Amino acid sequence: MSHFSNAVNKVPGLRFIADALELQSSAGRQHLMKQPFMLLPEEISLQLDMIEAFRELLQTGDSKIITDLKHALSEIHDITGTLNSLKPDFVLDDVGFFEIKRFALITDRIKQVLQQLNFTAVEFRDTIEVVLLLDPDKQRVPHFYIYNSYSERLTRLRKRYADLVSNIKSQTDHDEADDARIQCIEEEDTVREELSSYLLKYKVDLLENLALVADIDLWLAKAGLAVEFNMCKPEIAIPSKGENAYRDADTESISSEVKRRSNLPNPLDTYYTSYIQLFNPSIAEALKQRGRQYQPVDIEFGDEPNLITGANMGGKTVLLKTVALAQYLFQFGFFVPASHAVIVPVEQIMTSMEDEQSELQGLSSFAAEMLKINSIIIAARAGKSMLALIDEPARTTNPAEGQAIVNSLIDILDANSVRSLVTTHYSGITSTCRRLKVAGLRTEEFTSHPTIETINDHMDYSLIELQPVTEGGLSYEDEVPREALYIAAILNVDAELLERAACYITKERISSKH
Amino acid sequence: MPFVDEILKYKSLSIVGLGKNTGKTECLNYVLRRLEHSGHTLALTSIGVDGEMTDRVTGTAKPEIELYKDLIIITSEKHFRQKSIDAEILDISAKSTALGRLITARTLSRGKVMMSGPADTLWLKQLIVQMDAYEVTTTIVDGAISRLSPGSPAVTDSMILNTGAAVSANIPNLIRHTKFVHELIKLPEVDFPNDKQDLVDSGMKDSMVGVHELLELSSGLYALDAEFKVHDLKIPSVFLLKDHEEELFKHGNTLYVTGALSDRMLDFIRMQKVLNDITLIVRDFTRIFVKPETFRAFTSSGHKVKVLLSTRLLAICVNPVSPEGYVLNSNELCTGLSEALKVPVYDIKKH
Repeated sequence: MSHFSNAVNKVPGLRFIADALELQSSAGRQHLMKQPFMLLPEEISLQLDMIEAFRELLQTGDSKIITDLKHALSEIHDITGTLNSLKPDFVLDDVGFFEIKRFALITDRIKQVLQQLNFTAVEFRDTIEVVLLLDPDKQRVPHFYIYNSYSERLTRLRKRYADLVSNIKSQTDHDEADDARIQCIEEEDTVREELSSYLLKYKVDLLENLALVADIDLWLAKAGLAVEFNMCKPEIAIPSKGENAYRDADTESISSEVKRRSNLPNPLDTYYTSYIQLFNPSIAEALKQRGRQYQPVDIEFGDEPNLITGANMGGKTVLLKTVALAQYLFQFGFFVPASHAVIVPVEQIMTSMEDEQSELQGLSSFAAEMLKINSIIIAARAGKSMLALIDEPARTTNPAEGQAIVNSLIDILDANSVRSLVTTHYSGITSTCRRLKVAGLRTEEFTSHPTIETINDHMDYSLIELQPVTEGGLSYEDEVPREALYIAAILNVDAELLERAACYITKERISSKH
Repeated sequence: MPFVDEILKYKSLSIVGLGKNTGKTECLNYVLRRLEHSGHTLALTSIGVDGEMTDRVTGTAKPEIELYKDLIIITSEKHFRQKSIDAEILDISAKSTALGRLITARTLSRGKVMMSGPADTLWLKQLIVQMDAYEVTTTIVDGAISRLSPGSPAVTDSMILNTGAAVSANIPNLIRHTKFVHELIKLPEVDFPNDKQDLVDSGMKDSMVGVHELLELSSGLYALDAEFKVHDLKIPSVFLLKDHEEELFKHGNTLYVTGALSDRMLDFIRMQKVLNDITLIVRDFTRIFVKPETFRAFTSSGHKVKVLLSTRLLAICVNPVSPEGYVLNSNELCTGLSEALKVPVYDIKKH
């Protein structure tokens, strides 16, 4: 997932974000796909600061001038190919000159619009010479032709050709006209050579400006998204495993560079990722269209396993997906869907969730899940700083072994200080970890029998931290909630099934007492 | 030819041929020559690829398009680079065709250019609209080999049809074929009471459909009842007509076919002996792909085919020379055609 293009179709919710971005140019769209997954706080912070600047522009700037800016951006074509073809002894054709002229004129316009808006966060390279060169008659329209003003000789030759053509009477006249035409073309080529070699001097400046235009397009779109969905600028928390966090196999120098620049604090300190009112934009949007509201959740976690329990339909899976999405957005340089966020950058985000496990590989859901978990453990042992999000591990096997697997997984995550969220329905998880519980149904609110449509309104998705009552154990009240049958009843599941299930539970309780 | 003055009354003109070598390019050159000194700015483009030096199919020489100064041309990057004319580039499209992006340019001398253009009619329509920026009076679209699609009134406002010896070397055959196409071009428009002002005034408009509502339907088969209300028959394909026989005419005998009208459909409806006087509506003549026999059999059973948009046919031009080299008698051909079609017919080689 080193680039946005790798992640966009794999991370749930990211495609929605990509589609919601109002990018104006193809250069901007390509730039988005090439966004790197950033690790360095300085890099991330630079991106976030730019988005903040553009957000302020969107909120306070004259909307008519901002429309002008967007319009100018939309006219930008990606001319990287043409610019890269500028080399010594290479002669551009008129199409190439036209592209460069139009680009230089539009960047000039963008520059002026930004000046009108008093926006100073970006600086263009000066390419006014390019405009002057390709617009010798100062028409300031993006049309191009080898103008007569480039060469007096060309003017004379063209006039001669025109005169000859209008007076053709014999084959000799024809041949003479053809010769004149060839002379015109030769002179035009001389002009093209001169123009090309002059433009070569501005190649780097033009390429820089093109990159900047793509940046502006993307920053503006990200800022627009932040306004539309009410996203916040996350603070960057510096990770506890300072050196490991930035260790890269072939760029060992980065970690020393990071240390120098970011004044890493005591590595024994634990840094927390925390979100206040975290929400999932695509789900929130879908709910809004059905006239319902997304219930945001607060969550905070450090570099240790966090076990989350709670009723079915309690939003545990959505929470994990949203945490993963927010972390990706942060490291791809976006604002995040929360009212406040402090985030620790990680080298890797690893997930194990149901819908990504593929039957196509010929693996059972259990096998596919185990292999995923295995790769998380390998990465943890290798000392990678990561965020691991594991949804109901071992749920597809028998509870006795499943419970044992979850206990051991948490032990390993704990021993390796893995920043992780693990959900489960299994009771009897005794290993050391922080425990959170989804508050669940507010049954006291019920005035009538809830239905499948209204059940979400009565669900309290907030997380409650549970404290162990005794060393290594939990009190009965803090056990995994038993709301499955209750929720099944609300879903109008067959009554006989529910009654029989209830009987079995009673029998089990009785037999366990004996 | 008197029709040339008519051209400037329309925003767009398509020049289409019933087959290859029907003299489309010569017709275009003639029109351009006649309009050169009209004082109006013209734009010129093509649909798909055309303008090859020699005809790709038969290898016969093809006349090039001769351009004069101050024309707006839209052609592909590839053909623009091969031009033998001075031209100022005005715009380059963001989208690309098989021959590269489309270049809009203003000619600055006399010369020749190979014409190519957008690959689809939607893009063509957008280009025609964009020509307003260059104060163009009429955009002329050079149709591709045996494609009538740019002649659709949904794309261009007027049309010149070219036919000739290349379609058939036998004059009666050629006349029969051309007459059939002409018959389709001249199909009557549906008369919608809804589009009439008195009904709009009387407030009955809401429940009834007009041309615009029907044009917006992009797929499927619809029934129009006596009150001009539209009903979706929910028949996914004409291949499934047999399974929906009973539903077909439960709302009356007028159907709107959004896609192509095929032999299969006409034959199927003709076989339903239940109803007489069935009216089938299609968008325009370019949506009709039926054999003349099928069409005649359908209409002589008392049924009708109507169109939402009718075509403004400015002229029919003939090329008496076939690619194999034989020449038909021009007078006999022109007279024969104009008697059969009751419209003026011009021999493009004579002018």
